[in-house]
Amino acid sequence: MTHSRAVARLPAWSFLVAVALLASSCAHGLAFTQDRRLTITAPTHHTKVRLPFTVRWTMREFDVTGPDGRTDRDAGYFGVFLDRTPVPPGKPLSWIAHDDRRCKLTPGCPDETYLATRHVYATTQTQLSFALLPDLQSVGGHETHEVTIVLLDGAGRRIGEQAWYASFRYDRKKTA
Amino acid sequence: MVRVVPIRQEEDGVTIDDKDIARETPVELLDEIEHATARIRAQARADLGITGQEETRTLREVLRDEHVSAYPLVALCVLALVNFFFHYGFDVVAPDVGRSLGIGVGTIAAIQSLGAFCLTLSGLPTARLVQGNTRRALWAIVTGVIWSVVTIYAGFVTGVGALVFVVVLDQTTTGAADTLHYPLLMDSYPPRARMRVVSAYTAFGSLSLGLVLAPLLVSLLSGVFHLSWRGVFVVMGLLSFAGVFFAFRLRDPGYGRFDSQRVRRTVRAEHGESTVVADTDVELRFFEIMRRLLLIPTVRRLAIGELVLGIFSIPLSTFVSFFLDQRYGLTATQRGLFFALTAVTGMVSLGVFARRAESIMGQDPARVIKLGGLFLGIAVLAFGSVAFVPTLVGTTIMFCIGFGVQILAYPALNVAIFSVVDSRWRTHLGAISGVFLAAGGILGALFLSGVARRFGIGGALAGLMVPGLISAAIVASASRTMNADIDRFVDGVVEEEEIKRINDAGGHLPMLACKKIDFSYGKLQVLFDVDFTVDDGEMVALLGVNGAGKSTLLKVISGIGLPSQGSVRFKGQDVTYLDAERRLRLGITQVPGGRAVFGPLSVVDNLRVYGHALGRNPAMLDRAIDRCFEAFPQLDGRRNQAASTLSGGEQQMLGLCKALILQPRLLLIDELSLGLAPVIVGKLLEMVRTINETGTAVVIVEQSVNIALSVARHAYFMERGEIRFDGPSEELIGRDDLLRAVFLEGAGRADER
Repeated sequence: MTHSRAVARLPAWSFLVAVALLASSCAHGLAFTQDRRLTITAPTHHTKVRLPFTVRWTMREFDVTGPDGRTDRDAGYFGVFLDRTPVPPGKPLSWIAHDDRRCKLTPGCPDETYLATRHVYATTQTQLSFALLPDLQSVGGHETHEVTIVLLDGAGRRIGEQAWYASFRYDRKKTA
Repeated sequence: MVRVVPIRQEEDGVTIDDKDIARETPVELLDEIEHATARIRAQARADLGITGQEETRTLREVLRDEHVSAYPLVALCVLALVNFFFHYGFDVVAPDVGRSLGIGVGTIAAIQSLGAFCLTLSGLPTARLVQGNTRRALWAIVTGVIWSVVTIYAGFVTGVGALVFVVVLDQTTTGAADTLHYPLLMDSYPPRARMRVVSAYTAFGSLSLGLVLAPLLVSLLSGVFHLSWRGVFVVMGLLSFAGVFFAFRLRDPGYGRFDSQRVRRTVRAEHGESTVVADTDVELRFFEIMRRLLLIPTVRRLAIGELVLGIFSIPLSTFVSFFLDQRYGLTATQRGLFFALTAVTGMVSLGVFARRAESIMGQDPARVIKLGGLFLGIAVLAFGSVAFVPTLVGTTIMFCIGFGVQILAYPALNVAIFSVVDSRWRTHLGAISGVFLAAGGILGALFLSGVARRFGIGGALAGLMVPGLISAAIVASASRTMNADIDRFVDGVVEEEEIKRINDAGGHLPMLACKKIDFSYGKLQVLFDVDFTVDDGEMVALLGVNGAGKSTLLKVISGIGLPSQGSVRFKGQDVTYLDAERRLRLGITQVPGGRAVFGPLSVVDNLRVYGHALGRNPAMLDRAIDRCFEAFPQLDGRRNQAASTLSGGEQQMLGLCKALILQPRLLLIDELSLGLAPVIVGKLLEMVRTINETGTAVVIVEQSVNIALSVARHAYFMERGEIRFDGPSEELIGRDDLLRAVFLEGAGRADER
């Protein structure tokens, strides 16, 4: 194939790829703009915190109904993740334990305590207090932590792929 | 092939030069080639832009004088720039991608490592893909289209698999583009513009501007237009498409238009002929090219320099990011601005220095390499000092100085290293550079993460100074070989062109011509400046004591060993770096010293193995095997016996059968008589004579002077890796100064026994 002919075909192929991509995005309901319904008000980005501290946020256009079993996309409650990646869209918080064999064999696991030890929390409030922070073992004790909030539907599954986060700093006092 | 159109045409259609060529002997023609090479070298260097003079013309004037457009440069800059978008964009939005899709940091880091691995290796298949064709521009565009599509598609990924696909494809095309762009630039622009062109490409394409624009673009799209990471990728992909669309008119300029082709024209002009594009020599294969490139001293030094440089430069930006985060608490955006500021410094320094670098390249390329090493050294000190500077302002200043100086080294080293190799091999060279640099990067990441754990990020930055300074020293040391390598490149082109000219004119060159061969086993050099020729159908004896280098010379001829310098031409074709297997197919066969058989195999199986090169033609092979048994009836009776059970003489007969089967044009026999009874040796020599009479040229390596000189009219004598005698056998017999104790006395004693 000559250079000119090969290059001439590229736009047509590109167009086909673009159409395929647009079709797939419609099917998955992907978000191309930022969702600004939730705003984390404290701690703000890169501020220093002292223990205990409280993460606060505001929410609009979302009914906080709690775990009522419904699967509406605009009602439910909040999932909070400290220093860890949230569950994938559509998964419940219990997905955290999907690769934990011992938990799978234990009736009632994962429960609230199991999740809390892994820094995963569910709440209907717009704030959450922390008495402890994970030790990141950083040099000099200067740590940067991150809290991520996602929306959960009434059935406890993550709604969409929106996630809001704030990172903050904490100076850990090292004991000898 | 484009035929030569002689300027000085006579009635019979043969040029005056051509008539002379037809009359000259092979040795005279070889001398003529050597004289021509020496005569033309200065002009050829000038063709390559090395005039020893200051360059006074502006870039625009050079391009105008050479009738070259700026479009290839702009197109490649745009392609490189848009390629930067995904890479930088992904670095910035990777955490958002992780949060959206629920993919952990470790998984994303693993995907990026996989991408880096693909980036490292993709240059190699790319070099293979464009080897021997002129589709580099097409592939440069195709890679651009792929990464544009990939960038858009990145906005649609919904899982780990798709993310892996996106990153791997992007990094693969990025590696491919890196391999293609520099050779395209080198072939698109004349030598006196290259340093400035490559500097411009570095400033506006591959490095600086990308570091400024990419963070601005990401900030703009996410901060002002409130796009999610998906939106950012889609917009960047569309912009990337626009850039690639701009580059659609890019065309491959062909190979060596401004260097090897120019030197060829000079050779033709020297003989009063019109310019011509000569046909190419026997083409090296992919791994032969790679091996050839790594035998060039400058390339080897710079490749090692790049390996060590990779330890320093690849992890640098990552460690600086952590350093800025930990010591000064800079956010991702602030760090982006920090890098953008340093990038602007880089653009300014390139703009200021490019013309000066061009002049230095024109005066003395070795100085360019030295400067490259010096720049790297200064940059390393500046970067390392950041660990000891207590303020952000001081850190910024030192980092700007470091980047501003470091970036000057890249065009200098790129232009220099590409100038010592044939244009057809530059994509391969780019691939090698990428592999060495990335391998260093992997080593650096492993080494420095250990240092960081123990001494902190500041300690890691200071630790970078050690490999950085070592790499600077290695790079600078390449200046010692630079000019010699340019001369070798020029001489190779001139020699090739002269030989084609002689062949065109009906001149008769030796069938085998080894010229100025140097060979080393590691650091131990065993051949020094060896010239060795064999004519069609000639029988030549190669004599010398043990360790003189005879067998090594045979290895160089047959392709088992590769010389560090010099050329081997067979029937006019350069076979210096061809695999032994390909030389066998061209007609060079070696019967190794000692007992050249496969002991556990039967006699007939040995013969079948020898005939492997004949291909899948059993009838032809059977006929050849029958010929062997006719020539050596002794072997016929033992055809199914293991070769190891044969006597020494029978094993040598079996070894000689290789020649009967393959019927080579040139047969190299190493130590035929070793440990054999005279009567057996006589039989074998008779067979060698018969082979020679059928038209096969034979080189017979012997320690026994009497035996060698009894069959050969032409003899070479080697001592300590040098040719000490080249002439008729009778003359050698009279040279007592050469044939002292070891030979004649030894031979005498043998006769007495």
